[in-house]
Amino acid sequence: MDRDNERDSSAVGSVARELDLVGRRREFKIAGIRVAGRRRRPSGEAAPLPRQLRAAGHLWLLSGLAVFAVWFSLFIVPTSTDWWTRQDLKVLEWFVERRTEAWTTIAKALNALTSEWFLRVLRIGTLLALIWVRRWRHFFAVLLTLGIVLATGELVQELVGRPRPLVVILADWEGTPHPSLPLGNLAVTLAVMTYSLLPSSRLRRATLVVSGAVVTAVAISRVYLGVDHPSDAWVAMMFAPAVAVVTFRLFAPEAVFPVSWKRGVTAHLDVTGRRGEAIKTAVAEQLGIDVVAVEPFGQEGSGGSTPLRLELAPDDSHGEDYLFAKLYSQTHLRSDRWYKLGRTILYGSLEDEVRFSSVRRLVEYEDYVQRLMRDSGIPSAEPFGVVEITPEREYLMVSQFLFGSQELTEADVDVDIIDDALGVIRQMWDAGLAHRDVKPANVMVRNRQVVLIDVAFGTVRPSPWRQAVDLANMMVILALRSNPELVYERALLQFAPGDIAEAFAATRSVTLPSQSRSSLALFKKETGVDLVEEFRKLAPSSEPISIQRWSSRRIALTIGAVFLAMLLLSIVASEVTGGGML
Amino acid sequence: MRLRILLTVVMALLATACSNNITLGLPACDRPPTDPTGANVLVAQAVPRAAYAPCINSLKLGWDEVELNVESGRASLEIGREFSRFLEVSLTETCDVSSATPVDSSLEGASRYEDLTIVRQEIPIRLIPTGERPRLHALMLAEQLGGTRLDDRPVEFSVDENIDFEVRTRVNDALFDDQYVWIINDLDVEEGTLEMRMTADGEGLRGLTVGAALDRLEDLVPNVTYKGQWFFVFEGGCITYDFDAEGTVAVTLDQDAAEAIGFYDNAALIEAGRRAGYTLIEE
Repeated sequence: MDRDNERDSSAVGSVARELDLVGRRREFKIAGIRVAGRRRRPSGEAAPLPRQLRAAGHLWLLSGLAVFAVWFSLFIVPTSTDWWTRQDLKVLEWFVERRTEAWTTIAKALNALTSEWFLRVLRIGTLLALIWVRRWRHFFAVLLTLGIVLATGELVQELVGRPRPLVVILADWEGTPHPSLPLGNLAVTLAVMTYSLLPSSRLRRATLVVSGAVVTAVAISRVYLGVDHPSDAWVAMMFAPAVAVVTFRLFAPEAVFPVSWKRGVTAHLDVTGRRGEAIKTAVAEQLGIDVVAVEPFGQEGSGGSTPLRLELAPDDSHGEDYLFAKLYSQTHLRSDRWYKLGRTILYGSLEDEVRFSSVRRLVEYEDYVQRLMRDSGIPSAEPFGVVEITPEREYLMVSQFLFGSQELTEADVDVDIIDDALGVIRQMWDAGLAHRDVKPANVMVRNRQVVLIDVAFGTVRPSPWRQAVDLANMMVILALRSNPELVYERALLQFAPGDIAEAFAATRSVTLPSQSRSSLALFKKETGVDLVEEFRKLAPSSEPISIQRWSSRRIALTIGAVFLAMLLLSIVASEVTGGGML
Repeated sequence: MRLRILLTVVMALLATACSNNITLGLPACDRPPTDPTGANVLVAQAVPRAAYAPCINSLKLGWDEVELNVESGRASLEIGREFSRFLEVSLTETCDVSSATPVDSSLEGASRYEDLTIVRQEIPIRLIPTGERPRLHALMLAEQLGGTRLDDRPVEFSVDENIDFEVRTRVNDALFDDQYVWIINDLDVEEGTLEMRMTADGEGLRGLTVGAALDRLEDLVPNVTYKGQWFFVFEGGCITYDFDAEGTVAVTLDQDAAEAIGFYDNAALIEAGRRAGYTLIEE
């Protein structure tokens, strides 16, 4: 009987395994690469890189909840204030009974660490150091953290409105004691210094431990001196560093903005460690392609995503050794939003400036545009699809790696290449598409054919202005490797003279990608020829096209931005001249 | 979404906190020393040896912003309207009264001093006739112009009938009393004019009609002002009223301050605390 049962269960297990493998056995090819073993993640199974709090995160979360619980009781049940005070006084009396001259001297010395000028020196020093290394994320994260702690502390002090401890007070004080702002200021200052100045390392962890010990000693000294109740000190000690942890995690996460003492390092996601492994797993399961290595690729030319090169296992490659991928995260989503906001303020809604609501939406849009370009016959890399790394937070867009291609400005540009490149622009015009970022790094030549990359930044049914700018940008980079007369002559085969005139009437310094701008400047320096002006001379004359679009939204945003900037400046000025946050 | 929930909870807590009235508030005069408010205690802790501490009897209409600032050695109530502070009442351990004048104090055990610059609401004009005929004319003019208002402020006319005295001396006296001076001579009586004099020795504005003189005056008179200090000095401390008011708020500020701000028996509060087992002063 038992044996029958075992046999039955073995058969069932075998069938289940076989069924599980049905999906994995499907095999096909994309761009010559074998795709096999795709697998659906069943319900309940963790994502490749699940979002999780580590031990420190749990600790801070618990601290935050404990602080919240104390405040909740103080706010909702005012009588609990008396209970807290009684407990506090028991501790205070214990200290008061043990006061001696020597302990008082030590306590006052420790309490001096909360002095306004000491903290001011630390804070301004930190900010100056961050300015020097141009780490603006960390700079603003520090300001934001200090501002939140100060504003929240003052608000709660006002709301709780508690007297100082009912004992003889041996040190100077100001305002109500809950939470203890001097202690909170010291704790948050040490926390932001550690998070913004020290790279993630044992040194940082050791510094945090030492900072914690210093803050605890100062807290005990303030209770000893009768300036704060124990609960005032405890809440400040928990709350202030928790704000620093949360702000830095949200605003300058270590994975994206690691602390480094190199100047002006661009921010990209770290793809080593857990994330690197998660990428390999996710690509294997969701695309059916085995990746053996993940490495950053061409990061200097990309700000909107983290570009990667995925090295394939020899079995899967079939001659194609690599795939190209772009990793998108919430940080990139926020960057996209700021970029669009900045454009709207500077130019108005020249084109679609509606922000994406999630990383998923951003990736879906870019994947769609990439496929639409391909379907419309625009020569570009073959898309492999979207890979989910962390649901709603991180996605990877994978496409063909154009092995053996070179930038247009590094290739031999002859009439065929010129015709091909201009033909690509013509195709996009005909298909109602625009690339929006035509620059040397995005126009490749492979097997004597022009291929566009980074097409996902493109748009459907662009404004005539944007289409004209695409044409001008392509003509400019072609002329860098040939001459404007030849490019103009070949362009007339595919575009009307009026089109070309419009393209250069729309061209401004700001409409040229920065890479093209610097190439043009270098060209002018070496040859004395301004290519844009040369094209304008060749084309029929045309009135410059304004790139300013005014709308009530732009006016409101501009007023809001100016107001915020003035507010920020006035806060910084008043803090520097007066006292408080800095 | 989670952020919205969190914000909602925080806002609800803040709203509850405000409705529960557990905020520090202001030191109240009507609370007995055995049952003080948190603000009374905090103010007492600032200067624990002071016999009195400032407290609020009742706020006056127009005292829109009242802020309590407390630190060791000092507690103050800042009172203002539309971002402009017109009164600060502060409690300190000592204060400098060397430039102030002693005045009667109604507060037991306290000395009072004042150092004030006041521009009253009433605009005083002294008519100084140079002879008998001008004197009669001035008296008639003062009668006729009674009830005159400038910028909604009453104008008070008085006639200096000491026509035997030197005009220069009479002008000096009037200016010393912060009065505006109109001199009337025989020619002025004939022509219905007067001379407005700003200084005792200088040339005045001659040949002005009454209407023209009032117009000139309208440009000259400063705003109603109440500036300066009151000091109450007592055992262990000093309460200073620092006035800086102009315009309508200055008109009744002295009365309003006297009514609204009271003196809390700080010594009694400290003693009540000691009896309850809380020692706030080193013995």
